[in-house]
Amino acid sequence: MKNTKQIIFTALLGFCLSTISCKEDFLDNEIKNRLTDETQWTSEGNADIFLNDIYHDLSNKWNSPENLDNFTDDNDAGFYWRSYSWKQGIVDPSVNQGSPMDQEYNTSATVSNTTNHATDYATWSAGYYKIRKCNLFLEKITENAANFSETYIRQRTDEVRFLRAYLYSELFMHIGGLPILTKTLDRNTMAKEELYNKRNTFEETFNFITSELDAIVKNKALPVKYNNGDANAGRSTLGAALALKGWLELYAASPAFNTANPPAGADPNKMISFGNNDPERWKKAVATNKQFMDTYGGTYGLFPDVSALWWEKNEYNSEVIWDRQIVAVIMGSNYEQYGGPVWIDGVYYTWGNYDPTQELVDQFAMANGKPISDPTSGYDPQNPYVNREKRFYDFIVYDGAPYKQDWMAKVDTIYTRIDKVKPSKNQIDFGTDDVSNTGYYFKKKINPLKPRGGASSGQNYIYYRYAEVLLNYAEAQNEVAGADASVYSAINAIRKRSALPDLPAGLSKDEMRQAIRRERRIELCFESKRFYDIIRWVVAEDVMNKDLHGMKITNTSPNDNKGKWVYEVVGLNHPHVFHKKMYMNPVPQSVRDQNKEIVQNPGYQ
Amino acid sequence: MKKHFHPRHGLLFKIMRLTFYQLVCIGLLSAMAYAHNTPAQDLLNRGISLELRNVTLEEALVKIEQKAKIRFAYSSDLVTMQRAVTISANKEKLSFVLDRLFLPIGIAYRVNEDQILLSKSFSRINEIPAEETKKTTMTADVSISGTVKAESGDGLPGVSIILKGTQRGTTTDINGKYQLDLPDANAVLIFSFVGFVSQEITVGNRTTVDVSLLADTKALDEVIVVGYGTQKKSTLTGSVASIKGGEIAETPVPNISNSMAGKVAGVSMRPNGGQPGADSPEIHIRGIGTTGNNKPLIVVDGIIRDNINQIDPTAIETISVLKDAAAVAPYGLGGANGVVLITTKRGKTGAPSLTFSSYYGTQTPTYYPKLLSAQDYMRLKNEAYSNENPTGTQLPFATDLIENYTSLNAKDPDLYPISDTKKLVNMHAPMQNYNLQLSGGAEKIKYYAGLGFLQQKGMFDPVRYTRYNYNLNLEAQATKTTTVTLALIGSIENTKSVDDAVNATNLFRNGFKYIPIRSLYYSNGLWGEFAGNSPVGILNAGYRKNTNNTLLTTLAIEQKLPVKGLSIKGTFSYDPNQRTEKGWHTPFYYYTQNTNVTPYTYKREISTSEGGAPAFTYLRQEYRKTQTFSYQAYLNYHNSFGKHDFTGLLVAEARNNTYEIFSARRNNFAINVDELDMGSSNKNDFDNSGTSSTGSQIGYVYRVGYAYAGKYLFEASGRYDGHYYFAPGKRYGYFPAFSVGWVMSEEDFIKKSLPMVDNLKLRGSWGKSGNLAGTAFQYLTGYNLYGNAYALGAGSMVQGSFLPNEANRNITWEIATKTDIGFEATLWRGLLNIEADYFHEKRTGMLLPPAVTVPIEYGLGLADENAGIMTNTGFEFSLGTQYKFSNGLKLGINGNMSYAKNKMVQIFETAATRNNPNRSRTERPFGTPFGYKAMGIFSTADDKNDDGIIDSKDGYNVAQFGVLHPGDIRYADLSGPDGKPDGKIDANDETVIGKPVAPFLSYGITPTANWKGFDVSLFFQGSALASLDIRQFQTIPFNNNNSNSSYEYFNNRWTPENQGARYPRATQAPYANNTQASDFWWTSTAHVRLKTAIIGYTLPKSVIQALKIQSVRVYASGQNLFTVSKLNFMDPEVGYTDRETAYPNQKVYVFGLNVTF
Repeated sequence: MKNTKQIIFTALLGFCLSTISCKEDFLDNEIKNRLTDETQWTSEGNADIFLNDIYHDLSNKWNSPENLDNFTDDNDAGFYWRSYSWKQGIVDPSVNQGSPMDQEYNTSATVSNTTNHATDYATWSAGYYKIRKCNLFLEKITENAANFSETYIRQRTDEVRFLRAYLYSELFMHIGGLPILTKTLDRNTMAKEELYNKRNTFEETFNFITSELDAIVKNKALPVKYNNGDANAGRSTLGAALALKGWLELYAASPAFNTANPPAGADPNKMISFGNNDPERWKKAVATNKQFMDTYGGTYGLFPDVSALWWEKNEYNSEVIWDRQIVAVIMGSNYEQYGGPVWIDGVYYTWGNYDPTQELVDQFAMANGKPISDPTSGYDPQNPYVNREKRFYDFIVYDGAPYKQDWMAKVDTIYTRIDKVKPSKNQIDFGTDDVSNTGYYFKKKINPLKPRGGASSGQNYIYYRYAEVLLNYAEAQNEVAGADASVYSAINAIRKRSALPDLPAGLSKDEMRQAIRRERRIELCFESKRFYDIIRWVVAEDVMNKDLHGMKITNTSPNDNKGKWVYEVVGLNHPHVFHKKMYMNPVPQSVRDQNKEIVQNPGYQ
Repeated sequence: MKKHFHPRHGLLFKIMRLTFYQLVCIGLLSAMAYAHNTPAQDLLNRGISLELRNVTLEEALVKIEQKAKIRFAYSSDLVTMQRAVTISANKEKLSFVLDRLFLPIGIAYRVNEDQILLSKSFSRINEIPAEETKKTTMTADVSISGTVKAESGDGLPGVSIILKGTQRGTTTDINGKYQLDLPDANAVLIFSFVGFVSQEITVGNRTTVDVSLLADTKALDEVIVVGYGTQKKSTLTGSVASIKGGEIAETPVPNISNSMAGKVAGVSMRPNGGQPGADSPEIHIRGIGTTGNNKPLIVVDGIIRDNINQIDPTAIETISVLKDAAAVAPYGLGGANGVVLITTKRGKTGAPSLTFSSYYGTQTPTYYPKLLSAQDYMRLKNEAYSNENPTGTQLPFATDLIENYTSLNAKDPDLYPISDTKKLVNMHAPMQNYNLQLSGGAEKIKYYAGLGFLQQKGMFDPVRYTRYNYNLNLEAQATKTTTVTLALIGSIENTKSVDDAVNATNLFRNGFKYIPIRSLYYSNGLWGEFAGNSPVGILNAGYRKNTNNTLLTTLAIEQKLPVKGLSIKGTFSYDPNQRTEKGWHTPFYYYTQNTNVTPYTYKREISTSEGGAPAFTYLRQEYRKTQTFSYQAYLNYHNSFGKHDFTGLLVAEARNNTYEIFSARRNNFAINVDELDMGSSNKNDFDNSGTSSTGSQIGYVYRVGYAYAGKYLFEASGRYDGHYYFAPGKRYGYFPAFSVGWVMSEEDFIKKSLPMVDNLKLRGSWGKSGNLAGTAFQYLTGYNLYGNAYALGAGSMVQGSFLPNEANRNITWEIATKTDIGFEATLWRGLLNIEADYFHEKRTGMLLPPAVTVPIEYGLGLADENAGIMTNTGFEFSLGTQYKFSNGLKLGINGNMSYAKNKMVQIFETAATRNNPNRSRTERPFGTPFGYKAMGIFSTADDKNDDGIIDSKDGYNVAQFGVLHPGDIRYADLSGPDGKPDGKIDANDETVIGKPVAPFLSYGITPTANWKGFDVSLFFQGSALASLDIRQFQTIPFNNNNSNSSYEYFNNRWTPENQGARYPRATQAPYANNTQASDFWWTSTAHVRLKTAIIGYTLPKSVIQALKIQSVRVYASGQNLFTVSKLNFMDPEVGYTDRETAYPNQKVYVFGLNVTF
């Protein structure tokens, strides 16, 4: 008995001691799924991981079911989400977080990486979320400079400064003057004044962005361009910096901003305009775009086939200046789900979100280069789809258009006509189904390799391309000097690529302006450019405040099709209201609720 | 002194660490040390359970010999062996039983070897211990007799009558009569009988003493399971509600959390979808007291666990719901939201009892939307077109087409289809449950074993839930002072759902989206499409399967110590859980029809289901493993000294867990075999991920109680608790509670003046408890790493990292300060039971993101701060009555009601809302919906100039949303930026438009009746003061890209002829003005429903004895049988996140059988 108890007692004591000695602190647990501040900035490789995330934050606009063209007269997808509200004039700082362009799920007041903010256009919260990352990167690589080579710091600094300038430019184009933050805000160390910043004026913001871009170009720490196969292809380049600068200068020199009387109304805080008109601003735009053509013209140039510009096999081609990288499936795009004919070969393929309007279609010239409004053009309203310019056939799917992509076994002919004998699934239906309400689809930018869905497309999203530089130059130079030879040369280069004859000689400045605008609308259609153009040219109120049109095609003998096919341009009857305040987006109400220093844009009070 | 005790010295930590391990080790090991065998000399300590009524003493002795495995030795002239005796013992020591049996009839006994020798105690004094001899006076000069009766007037046999101060006495005979010789007239007799209140009567000079004994409600005193122990209901000072397992087991629900609300006061719930295997409602105890985690803590068999859904209801002995601070304090930082304690069944001494129970039945959705027919769909579409284009001529559907549609359909159903997605739904899905329970025990070992099988099929074929339950409980009396318990509770759950790329809710969405003028199936049996989608295609595709293996293991050793009333216990539990998931997606197919050729031709195509589903095949597998270890060391004390009763409890508890997850996926299967190895070998089609984590918690629990004379009750309890979530130095907290009780019914003034009061207790408690909100390591700055961030160069993917938010080193738990005042009363011997509580809670330190304290330009999420304050106040009331009529009819009714309403006292809010009384979130309940105030629908009369548009020309100068028409919703212009109406509806006009989704008020009423083997029980459950947003497919026409609408909308829509309509005019797409958040759409979900109805019949003894079976009961039961609600087209308890696309709640009818062999 005694022995047993002793043995047990000894065992007990031994066990207790062993348990105590083998654990330091029972409550200490290691966190295994995050990097510490130290590890993150310990090497170039690790720091690059952080930078990769900033690139990741670049908007993948392929995946936006409503791209900016839905907010213009080029496209009418019917009663579609945000653009449906926008076209009713429902734009308000407190509605949809003040972001009339963005999808509902991108508009929360605070953004996190898990929020899908890769498709938005101009959400204040998402923009500053990304800008902070840039500022943090710049601060951290300076703080930890010892861990990096000089070349690395030089290159990455300019890369990130470009990204930051680009992110600012996106907000700037929608909202105007912005608080310019170049370091991370810290509520624990900063005074109230440092934390709560005012908006800089339109001009200050513009100057900040362009001077940053200018500095990057002058530093030459970055390559002019990356080509296919380069290990770093996809990073910021000098070309991207200069092209962005040239575009912003053109944007800011335009009538909507280069004025004392902005169309949205009195702008006492100079948030949406310079507050004066200065022709010198056009000259800046000329100079920068010319600089691009002159300096980088050998590296960049027009790609021979505009319809193949976006294809995966042509990534990094000579025309691509600034694009977002996409890899099929893993980080792929769904664009093919949204655009193109709804029914292909009798199969439902797309949501039919991009339906070109008759207004856009009418802009395409005849093959002879003459606009259809020209009585000598040879245009036949009852046979409208013959002898049109090449880009019409490249970009637009119309009634009777042959449709063939690489993945398709054979050509399908798309019919949008109302045919009671052989009804087509793509038949114009005025809103019963996803099929087009205008009688048109488009095929520009569509990946020929894969039909749709499951993020199966790997085409990069191109933000800026060389044709735009030419158009920018032509437009600015025409304003400065009229239709001189350099203007003709820039425009004709684009026309030539698409087999159009040169513009007629001797155009007046105004005629040239019209020609450039038409050229720009056609060449850049469905690239989310038209929206900025109708704003900066102050034409939105004219083109938006009216009904848009589609093409209704019927047979005079509908039961046997033995009659004549009649083409009739019909109104779409969708309510459109464009208020003048809509020349600029509002600052979201939540932004002003949290920072009293932020003033609102005109018209939204 | 600060309110929270944070030790600062490392030394103290170290001491505590040492102490803890020592305690646990001592608990476990010393218990083992004592667990050695002792010689079998101590027969008298053997436990015995025996129920004998009115048998002869001879028979009784035989029975005891059998039960206790002993032998009696006595001479037959000792006593009259035919004397009637009654024995009632439940797990009692033999010595106690023998004392009760022999003392009254003057028999003494002693143990000799394995025999018990009986002798006459009066005549053979030498057999009685010396001290007791003095008390026994021998002279006998008075003889008295009488009858002992129960209240009913029936004679009570077997009542023991003892002469006070002696061992002399007798028992009543079969008619309740007795006869006894007494020494003198001053004698006091004690009449006692199990289940009755003992009475002392001074004989005086009477020779006949008749006594009527009162049933003792206290003797039936319930033992309630509380935190880390049990307590008697009579002396409980905390607020604890208890549900018997049996009440829950007969409800045909797989998971008990669905049947708790309304059963007891203080429990409310909000269901969120009824999909088999995923139908757990949110349960709240005393409402919602925090903006953070509001789930109650679940404790199974004394160990903190989270397995409420996996426990087989039939294996449950009791459920205790701990509500006030006194009750939850032992759970420290886990207790603030209330605690649900589930205790599973244990074996009982006695012959093995085998019970088989089963039920089988069907499930039907409580509500199913009535979608528009083909013709009405087209009519509504045309109406919407004309509403939007008054001059338009392109009517979507020709009028003659609509009118002739049915006849056209009859002629050519493929060209003019009519479809109804309801046909895809299984409206009568079967459900079955089988269960086998074995229970029994001998003197030293008791066992309970159960085996269960449940299968619940879903509304769609692939959807089903299958569960196997197994459990085993062994309790061994290892030595006379040592008890060892081993408990295993296991479950295997298989949940199957539709294709991995979608959820079952997608199918309900598909049901709304599929328009009735498209073929769901063509006449040849192939399935069609609408907008490239087919629900049939989804149902014919892949699957998602979950297997969840759970095992809860507990080993406990309890050792009584040599000090009276002191025992120690060591518990070790190991809960492994393995969860695997296999998700298989095959492309969704549908068939297109070419009507341009005759006969029509069909082609199979791939659908993307609104873009969500890949056009390729993939397989995804996931493996998760969780292991939880708990170690507890208990020190228990209970002893009475006269009128003083002391209890004490000390527990050291440590818990730690490990978690691992691993997942892999391949895309593009060329061969359709659902195994990873069969997938594409292209590395771009591979994906995998995995991570792991660990966690730990440590706590020291105490409870001390003191009761004086069973009247004045005092208790203090609490926990010193530590958790790994927080930064070193911030990890420990102290949560104390105090409670008092006054059993007024024990006071003489109550006894005298209010004799109908059997029990009346007032109690009050105050204390603190914690709530672990947020997530682990919020105190650390860390960059989140993720894969596939970007592609550089040749398209190879690179990783990315980002800072999710700022860290907060000071982050800690929420603190709830709870006060409770309650009373309990039992009147008229159990005829009426009342319990009522008032409570108030203040939750401080609620975790809130202080986002609004920095400008949005800050660009980084801020770490949560312990800054929020919320109060939660309410009351509970329960009432029960039961009455048995002389003809055997037993009626009972129990009802309870709970009300709890919270208020946010301090939260982060911008000045814009805070300073506007309409918009302020502060001072309002959490989850209060905000929106516009609707003023009804514009009528045709409002369009004064008759241009179809309502604007300033008609004298309406408020800018709403877009162009306004008759039939659109009108909003109140409550305010503007300056606080005055500004002619514009925007955020400044926001106001409260309803109540949160979780109800403030819940109640339940349970009437029961028993008569001659029949039993009927109904359970009505209701809730009120909650609302739901009903903007959805049923109420908004063409809610999503021309989707179908319902008759709820169609029959109640605005038209010029129906100006007073419930819903706005039809538009072809949701019209911004008419779909704003407003009180137009927030609707009360107040309802009462017959949650359960059961009618059963227990076969009479005469029948089943012939079958050699102990009992047989057959029953029919139903769940959610009918509902009374203002919402007459949808379930008021519909899943509130998915609403119309949520898996519907089910009405269940089952037929069941219980047999005990």
